[in-house]
Amino acid sequence: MLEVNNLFKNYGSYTAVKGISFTVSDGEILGFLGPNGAGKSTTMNIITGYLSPSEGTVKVAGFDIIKDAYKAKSKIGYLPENPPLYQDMTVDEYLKFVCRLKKVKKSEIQNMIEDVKDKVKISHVSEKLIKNLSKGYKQRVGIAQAIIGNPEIIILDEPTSGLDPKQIIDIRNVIKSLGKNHTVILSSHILSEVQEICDRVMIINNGKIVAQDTTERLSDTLSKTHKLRVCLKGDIDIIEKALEKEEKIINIERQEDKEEGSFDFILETDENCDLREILFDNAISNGYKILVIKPVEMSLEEIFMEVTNSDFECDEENKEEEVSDEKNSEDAENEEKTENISSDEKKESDL
Amino acid sequence: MSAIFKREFGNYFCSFIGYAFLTIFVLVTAIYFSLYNVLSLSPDYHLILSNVVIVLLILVPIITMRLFSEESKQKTDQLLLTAPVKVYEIVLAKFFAASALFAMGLIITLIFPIILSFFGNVPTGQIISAYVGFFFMGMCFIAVGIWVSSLTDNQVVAGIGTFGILFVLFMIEAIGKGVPEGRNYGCGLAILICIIIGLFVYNSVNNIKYSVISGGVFFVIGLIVFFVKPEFYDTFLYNFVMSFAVISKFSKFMLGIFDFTTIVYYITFAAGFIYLTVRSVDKKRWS
Repeated sequence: MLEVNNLFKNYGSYTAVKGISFTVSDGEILGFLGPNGAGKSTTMNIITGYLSPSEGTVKVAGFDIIKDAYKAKSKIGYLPENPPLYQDMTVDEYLKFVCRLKKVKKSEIQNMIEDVKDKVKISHVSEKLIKNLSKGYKQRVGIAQAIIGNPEIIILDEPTSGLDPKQIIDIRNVIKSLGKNHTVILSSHILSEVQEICDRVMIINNGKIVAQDTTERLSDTLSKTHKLRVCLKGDIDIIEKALEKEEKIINIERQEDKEEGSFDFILETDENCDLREILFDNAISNGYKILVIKPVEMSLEEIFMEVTNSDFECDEENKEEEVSDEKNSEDAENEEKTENISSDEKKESDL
Repeated sequence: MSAIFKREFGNYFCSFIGYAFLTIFVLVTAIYFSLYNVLSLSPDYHLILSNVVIVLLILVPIITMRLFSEESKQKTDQLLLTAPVKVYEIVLAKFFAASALFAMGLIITLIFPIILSFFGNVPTGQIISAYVGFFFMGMCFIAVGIWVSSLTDNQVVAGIGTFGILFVLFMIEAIGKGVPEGRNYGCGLAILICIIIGLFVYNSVNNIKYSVISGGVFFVIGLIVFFVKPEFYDTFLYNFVMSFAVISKFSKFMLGIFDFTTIVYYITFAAGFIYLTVRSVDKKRWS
């Protein structure tokens, strides 16, 4: 359905995409995962023909996006990062315009508009001017625009950004149902979202594919909790000594205390044992109390390290990339911050 | 293509721009009509169109400035450029939308010569020829405006830039009189043109070989002309400048001469700028 071959994109001396290749088969939902600035949007812009690659080819259903642009583009529905909406049109006018732009038959336009409005639940705002809609509704109109004309491939760049938790669930369901009849590519920096919707995940960092695999295998690796945030109550000296004595805990990090009389730590162990049990036994034998145990979620950056270290498919080249990742530790810190925000979003959405 | 045309044309009347254009255009024509025809008791309506040109210098930038700059600012160009439409269709649709608005203004002002015809004989032939010429000249202005709009994502810059270029076109006769004559200047200009062609080709295909070849071909042609007919270069600079005299070519129509070559000139001029617009929209994808 979609073949991307050795894609490069240079902006002057800066290379945003460095040799991305992948294929997507019919009816598959593929997720692009990566921090901001990883090259997700650029890749999507190239696939949809908005940007031209500096090198490499994209084939949509056998048609080259540069040479056979017209045929290739008619098979794609695209929601860019900022939904391309004309602010001074009403939702209905806008959708009608998109229908005509995508050459939907005149007799089908009305049904098509009702159909997509129904799918993304915007029927009650159809008479409103787009500039008066909230961010979430604009996003939904953007999605409606992408699925008009039943394109074979639907490409969504961060489809759930700016939506409230209920809307996020709605949109995820829409995307899942689209996946039954269409090939879908979506990008996100929210891990749980990709895990939930996609059949296959590609992790992109610094313009390269760091790893790609099915969601099951990815989540297997991630479910091994070996980092806990704990809140302990008792005598601080006893607690610290007891923890230090415990051989299986390889790293103890003292955190800022949130409650009076209790102490917060981040504990780490190697992957082969359950830290919760160890901590419980330790608490009993040393006479302190456990108030909170909470697994520390891995940041996206940590997932990269995790994924590239384990036995996932990855190229030799990517390992070199990893080394340079370590060098860019400052960047990594920034990205962790981003991930903290997104994990908050995740919690909201899980409510 | 018709979808974009309808949207753009409709959009003129969603905002105040369409109404403002029509109002000012008709109002100014009405003022000239009252002063020249009604108060001076003259039937020569076609003469006032040459005065209305000055208003066009300001009105055309207003209707063309947002055509492309607003698209790239609001990122709606992503919708157009990823839809199954060709770039030249997008450009032409926008060009025709602006031209249609301009034509609408012209049609409304037809009411003045019709009023005039009730009170005596009007030079019908001259008026029709002046209107046709005026319309094609306006299309040239619009093509320039669209091109400038595609270069920037700032409406104001696009508007002022278009006004600047149109003003130079307006002044071109005076500029032509001021340029120095002589073979050296002509040759210098010819070499400059060869270099510009080379750079343009390089800009388009990013290949130094092709750009040198195309620049070289024109240089050789220039050399041949130099040896065969050296006097060509004596007035080359003047002729070159005057080839942009869009507005002074209009004066023929005022005399009632329906000059077909000038119509072809206008169409070529507009087509040239439309081509440049297509290139500049396309170019953004490659940057």
